[in-house]
Amino acid sequence: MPDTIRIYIASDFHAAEKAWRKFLNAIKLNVYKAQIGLVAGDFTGKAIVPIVKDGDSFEADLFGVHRRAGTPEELAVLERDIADVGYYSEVMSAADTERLATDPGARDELLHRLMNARMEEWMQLATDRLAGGEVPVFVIPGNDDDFGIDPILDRPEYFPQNADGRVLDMPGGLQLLAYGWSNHTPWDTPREVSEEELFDRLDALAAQVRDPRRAVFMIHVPPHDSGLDTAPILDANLRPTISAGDVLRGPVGSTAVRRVIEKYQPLLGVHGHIHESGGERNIGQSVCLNPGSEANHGILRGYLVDIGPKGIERTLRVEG
Amino acid sequence: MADMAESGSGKRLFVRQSSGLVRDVSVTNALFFNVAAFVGVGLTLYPAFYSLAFVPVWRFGPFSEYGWAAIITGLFCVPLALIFASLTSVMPRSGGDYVFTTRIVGPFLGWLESWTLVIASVAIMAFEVPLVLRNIQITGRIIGIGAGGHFFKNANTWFTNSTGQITGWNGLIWGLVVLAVIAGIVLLPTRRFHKVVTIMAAIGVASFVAMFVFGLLATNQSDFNRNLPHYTQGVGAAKIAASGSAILPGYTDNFLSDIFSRTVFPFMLGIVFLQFIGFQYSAYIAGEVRGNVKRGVSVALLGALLIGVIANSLYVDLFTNHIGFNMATSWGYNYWGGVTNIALPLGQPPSMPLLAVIANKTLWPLWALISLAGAMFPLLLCPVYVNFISRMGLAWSLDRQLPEWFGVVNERMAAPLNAILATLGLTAVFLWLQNFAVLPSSIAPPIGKLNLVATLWFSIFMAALTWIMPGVNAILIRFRRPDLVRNAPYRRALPWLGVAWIVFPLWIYWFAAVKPIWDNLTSSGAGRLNYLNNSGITGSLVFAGIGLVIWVIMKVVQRSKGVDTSMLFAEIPPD
Repeated sequence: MPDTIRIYIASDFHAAEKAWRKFLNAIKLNVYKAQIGLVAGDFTGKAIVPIVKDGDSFEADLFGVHRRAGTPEELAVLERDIADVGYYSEVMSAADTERLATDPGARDELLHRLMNARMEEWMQLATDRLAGGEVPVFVIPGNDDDFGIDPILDRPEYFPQNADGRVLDMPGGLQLLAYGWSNHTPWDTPREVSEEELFDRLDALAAQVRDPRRAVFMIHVPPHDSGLDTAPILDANLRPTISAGDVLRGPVGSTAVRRVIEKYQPLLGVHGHIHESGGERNIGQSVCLNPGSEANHGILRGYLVDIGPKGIERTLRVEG
Repeated sequence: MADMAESGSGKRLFVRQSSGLVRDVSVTNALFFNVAAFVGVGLTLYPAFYSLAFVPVWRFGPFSEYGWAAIITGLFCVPLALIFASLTSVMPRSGGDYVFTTRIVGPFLGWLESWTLVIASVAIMAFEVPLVLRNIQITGRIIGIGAGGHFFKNANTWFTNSTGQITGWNGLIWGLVVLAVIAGIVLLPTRRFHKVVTIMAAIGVASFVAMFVFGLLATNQSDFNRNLPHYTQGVGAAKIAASGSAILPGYTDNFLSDIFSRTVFPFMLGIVFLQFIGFQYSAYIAGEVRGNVKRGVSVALLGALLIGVIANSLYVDLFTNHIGFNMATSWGYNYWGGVTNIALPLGQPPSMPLLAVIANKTLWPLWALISLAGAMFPLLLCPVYVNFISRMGLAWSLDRQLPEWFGVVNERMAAPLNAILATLGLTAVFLWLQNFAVLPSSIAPPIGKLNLVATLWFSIFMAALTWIMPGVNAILIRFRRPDLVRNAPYRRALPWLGVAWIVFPLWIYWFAAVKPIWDNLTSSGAGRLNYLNNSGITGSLVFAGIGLVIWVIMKVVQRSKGVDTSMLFAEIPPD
């Protein structure tokens, strides 16, 4: 093992097929010469595109563009294009589409089935590509991820290791504290708790860390008011607040995460959650970073962090 | 829980309730951003730009040559707008064409393109700052004409030295005062900055409309001609019109051949290019455009383009035809130094509200307000430019094209403060070079000072890559980054859009820049260097050279730090 360990970090794939495949190949092909891979949460997607079967052809709308597939090959291309932008697709009849439009329960059931199916495909693909390699990959679910994916992430036959809620050893004498929950958001996502509860949970985990100065805290939500957590401020209808033609923005990160970072001063804080707020900041002695996400555009954003015996040697923002 | 959304054609998209948000700039904001970026001094001073190219100014139909150049440029800019709409849809981030070029062609060309654009933009700001002072003087003159008063009647002496020029210490100090106001706006926290820009832009646009409506309805040429000699020591409109006869061939009978002229029209198109630069700047903040990026950027670009075409053709041509086209054109030619046999009328350029107050001084408060808005637009352009340049600095810093500290985001402002301060500092340097003869006269003829015309040509030359590279990117993306273009709007048409666009800037830069330079260099040597300096070429080469040196230094520095910049944009195959 070299003196300097390089960690490759990405986050918030949100079911975007192309970006996930790029991430796996970045490790498999040793593009960044990293020794550890980290994924800071939010694997699942946000929408289903119904592909309507009409006789022998299949039709769908993607980003306002009407798409038609006349052959199985064209259908595969259409499904892949939908997957690449982080949507799920399902072939159905026009009648089924109408039925789903009026049946929230059925839509929800379909969404969860598709989420789990893609998660399984992704973990299998990761195992196929990376198993036997020397680069461990640690992942956590994020606040957007339904609990249904946890049993999939936990399966021992898959190569990526679910580190959620644990403190694990990593190469180079480093430790990883990992946690995917967030403070409350306007969206009422699956993994949210109060700031007090979140602090208690993180504090209990941090107490297990041998030496915070040789530890990476991978917590999905970024620290409050860190510049890694700037997002539009929403009104009661979940729409951006506008003033003088401008969208008001503000910090939406977690005060609990900030308190934990300030209290324990880990070597490195790894976060995600706020896609448009990628970057890096120092909080005390800790370097905190958020790679941001453009996964739904097929762009893989990431960070490389080189950690030597004396601490962080360099950081480099990358995209593929 | 999944919600339901209707797409345009009626097919459904079932959206999860916890969808989150990623973009925060509205289409209206993006449109205002573009408008604020391109209007500049144009609101009141468009008539002065007819003659800036120092080429004959013909007319055809209802429009001047300048108006036709604006219309034709607007038509060609439609493919450019579609290219930006397409590329920003698949690479929606701050940095605009810098990002596209670095990812499609390579980081060096991306750096050079954006570096030269930034320098061009700084030079444009240095051009705009003294014109803010000019517009304030003009506003004072308008009040003096309408309401009288020694202070306002002598507005021409404001900010000037003993010769009546805005130069030397007066020019620098007052220029720095304007720059301080710009800094005051641009250093506001981001949220307040946008409020100020939006309000100022809205006032400016309202003034546009007022100038157009009342300029046509409340003035007439006979009143203007009758009143003018009172303010010009007896020099009448006919004499002013005759003073510029060398560039006034009148109505043309050879419209098509004039359009395809290789010696006159390309220069006029070059001036319009300068006026239009900025209409595409919302593409440089595409990373922040909310909702459907393609639609948002398309509307903002095409909307700003439409406003640009109307402002540079219908708006200015109708008014100057109404008040006296030859007079206004010759007056502008006089302002740029093309006329020497009569003094500059009223000591000012042919500002539209100034012409209007001469024709109808009872409405002087209205003309003064419009003129004040005319002072506000060049002032507004500068913070918008600084904002856009700072985003570019941020993109450079993230890509290690410049040191990381350059793009560090200040927490109070939520903006890259160092990049902003560097931009303001560089603008101050340009102001210094405009006001003092500190350069060798061989480099900045005739006396070692940068002048406005040279600054403008310098800006036009420096912006060459900015105009040309989007076409190159559109042509090359399917070969260089097929993974990105796969889902791009207009993806099949992109190469053709690239070709349709790129012939236009290449035509202009070949016939208005490269060929004249080549002809001059290959002609007998006298005045050769003067030509290059007057036309801004030497300055452009110097700054391109500085860009190259920075590039090399940063490569060496990054290598010494162990940073492998080749990893930054490494293309990773998904399959």
